[in-house]
Amino acid sequence: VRRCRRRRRPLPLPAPGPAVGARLPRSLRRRGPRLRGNGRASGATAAPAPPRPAPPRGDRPPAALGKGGRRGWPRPPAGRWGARGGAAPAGPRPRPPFSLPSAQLVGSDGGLQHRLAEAILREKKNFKISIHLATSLPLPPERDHLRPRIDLVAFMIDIKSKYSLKNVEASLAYVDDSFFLGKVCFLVTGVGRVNCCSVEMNAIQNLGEVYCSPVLFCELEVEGSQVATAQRLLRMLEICAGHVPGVSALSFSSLMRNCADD
Amino acid sequence: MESVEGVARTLLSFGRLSRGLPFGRAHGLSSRDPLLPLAPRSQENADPQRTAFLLRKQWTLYSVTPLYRFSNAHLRDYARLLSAFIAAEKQKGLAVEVGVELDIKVAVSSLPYLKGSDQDQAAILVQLSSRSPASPKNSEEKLIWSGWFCCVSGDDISKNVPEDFTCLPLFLVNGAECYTSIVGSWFQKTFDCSFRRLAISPLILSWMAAMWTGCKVDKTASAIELVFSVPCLPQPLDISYAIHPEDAKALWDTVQKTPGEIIQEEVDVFMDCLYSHFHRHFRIHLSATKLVKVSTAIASAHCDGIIKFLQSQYLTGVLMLLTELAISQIE
Repeated sequence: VRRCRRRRRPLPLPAPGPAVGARLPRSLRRRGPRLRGNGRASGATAAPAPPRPAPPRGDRPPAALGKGGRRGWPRPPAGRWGARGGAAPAGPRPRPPFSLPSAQLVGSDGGLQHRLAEAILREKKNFKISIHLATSLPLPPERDHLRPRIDLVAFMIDIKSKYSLKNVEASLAYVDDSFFLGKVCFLVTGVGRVNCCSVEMNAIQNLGEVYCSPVLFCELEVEGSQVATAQRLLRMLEICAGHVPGVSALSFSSLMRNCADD
Repeated sequence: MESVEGVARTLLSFGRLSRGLPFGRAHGLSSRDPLLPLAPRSQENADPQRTAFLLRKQWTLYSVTPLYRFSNAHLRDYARLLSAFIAAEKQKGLAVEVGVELDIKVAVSSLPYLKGSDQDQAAILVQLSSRSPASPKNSEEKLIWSGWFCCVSGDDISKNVPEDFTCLPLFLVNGAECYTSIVGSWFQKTFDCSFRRLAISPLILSWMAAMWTGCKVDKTASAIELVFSVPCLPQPLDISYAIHPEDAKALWDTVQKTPGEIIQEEVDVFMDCLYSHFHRHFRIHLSATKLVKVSTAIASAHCDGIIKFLQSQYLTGVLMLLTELAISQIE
C-alpha cells in the first residue's frame, strides 16, 4: 500500500488514480458537501473521466473495493442539494486526488459567460483548469456522478437586467453554506453604462454583505476590462483550489471585503 | 419579509389582476433612504393659465452647470445680444433654415411662479419667434423655438455655490436642434456654463412610473403605458404594456405603506407585480428588457431625456424630480 504524503507543492498534471486499496490520509480528506457541477464543461481541458476516489477511513470498512471503488461510496445527504429525494447515508466525499481546479459560472446571459470563460482560459497559467457554465441552480441531477469538485462559484449579474439579479438570488438558495467561506463571488457587469442601469447598487452591495462574499465590478463588453476580470478570477480560483501556499480562500475573501469597505 | 407576504395576500383578492404569488422570493433588505424626493404633490395655487403653454409639448432635457454673473435685471440686454449673435451666425453661413430668410426675434423673460422654495432662482424663458419678411408688418410672429431654465428645490447645489453664480440646473428645449446649438453656444460663451444631455435610466423611469401612478387626477385618466425595448435581437422589438389607471393605482395603494414617502423596496414590489402579471400571460420576462418610456396621466418620460407634461397641478412636482436628476448629473 502506497502512502500518500501531504501535498506541499502545487498539484502536478493529472496522473492516473491511486492504486486500488490505497487510502487517503485524514489530512487530505475534504469534509463538507460540494456543489454539483454542471451541464456543459467548456474550455480546452475537460474534466477528467470520473476519478476513482479511495474510500474514507471510518467506522465502516470499505465495501466492494475490488471492482472499481465507487460502489459503496457514501452519497451526500439529500437535503443539501434540494433536487433529490430519498434518504442517503451521511458522509462527506473527499476530494478526488489530482482533479483540476474548477470554477462554476452562474448567470442568465449565456453569451457573456462564454466570453468570460474563454478569456479566463486564454490567460497564461501553469496548471490546467476547467470552467463550468450554468444559467441557474440547481443543476440537473442526471450528471451528478460525473461532476468534479467545484472550487469557486461566480454569480454573474448584469446591471442592465433586473432578471439576472433575480436569477442569482434564486440560485443562491441552492448553494451549500460551506461555499460562502470564500468560494463564492459576485461579478457585476455592465457598469460602464450608467444610463442603462436597471438594478439598484444598494441591492447588490447588500447581497455581498449578507452572503459575506466579495463583489467584483467589471464591464465585459470592453476588451481591457474583460482581460482584467479574467485575471482576477483566475487568481481567485488558484487560491480557492489551494494552490497558493499560505493563503486560504477565507482569508483572501475577508481581505477583499475589508479593502472594499475602505 | 412580512410586508411582501402582506402584499401578496392583498393581491390575491384582486379580481382584475392575476391570482397567485407573483414573486417567489422575498427581497428582504429595505433601504430606508428614498433615492429621490417625495412624490409630486398637487399644487392648488398654481395658475393653469400661465403654465398652459408648457403642457403637452415634448421637451428635451439638458443639465446646466451654474451660470457665472447672470442677473435677472439684464434680461432685455441678453435678448438683444442673443439676437445679434443669431444674426451673425446666419451671416457666417451656418444653415439655420434652408431656403426662407427669416427674421428672428428673441424674447427672454422670467417665470417667477415656477419655483419650489424661495431660495430658488426664478425660471428664465427664452423664445425665438420669426416673421417671414414677405408677410405684412403687423402679422403674428410664429414661435419657432423655446427653451427655459429652471430650478425647483435645488437647495443641494445652491447652498454650495460661490457668490457670483446662478444655479439653474435644468434646461428644457422645444424646437429645432440647430437653434438649440446656437442658443446653447451663446450661453456657454457668455456665462461659462456647460450643457449636457440628461438621460434617464430605467431605474429612474420605474420610480417615475410608481410615483406618478399614485397621484390623484381629477379627470378620467389615460392608461399607464410602459414601453420596453428588447436587447440582443437581430430586429429591434418594442413591447408596449398598457395598464388601466385605476388598477394601477389600486395596486400602488396596496404597496405603498406611508403616504407621501416612497422607498426603493415599494417600487421594486410594484414593478415586480406588473412584470409577473405580464409573464403569466405572455411568458416574457420584462425584467430582462430595458424600460425606455413611461406614460402616465401626469407626464410622460423617455429614457433619452424627453419629457411631456400633461397636468399643470403636478408640474412643480415633476420639475423637482427632474432638477434632482440634473443636479446629480452635474455633480
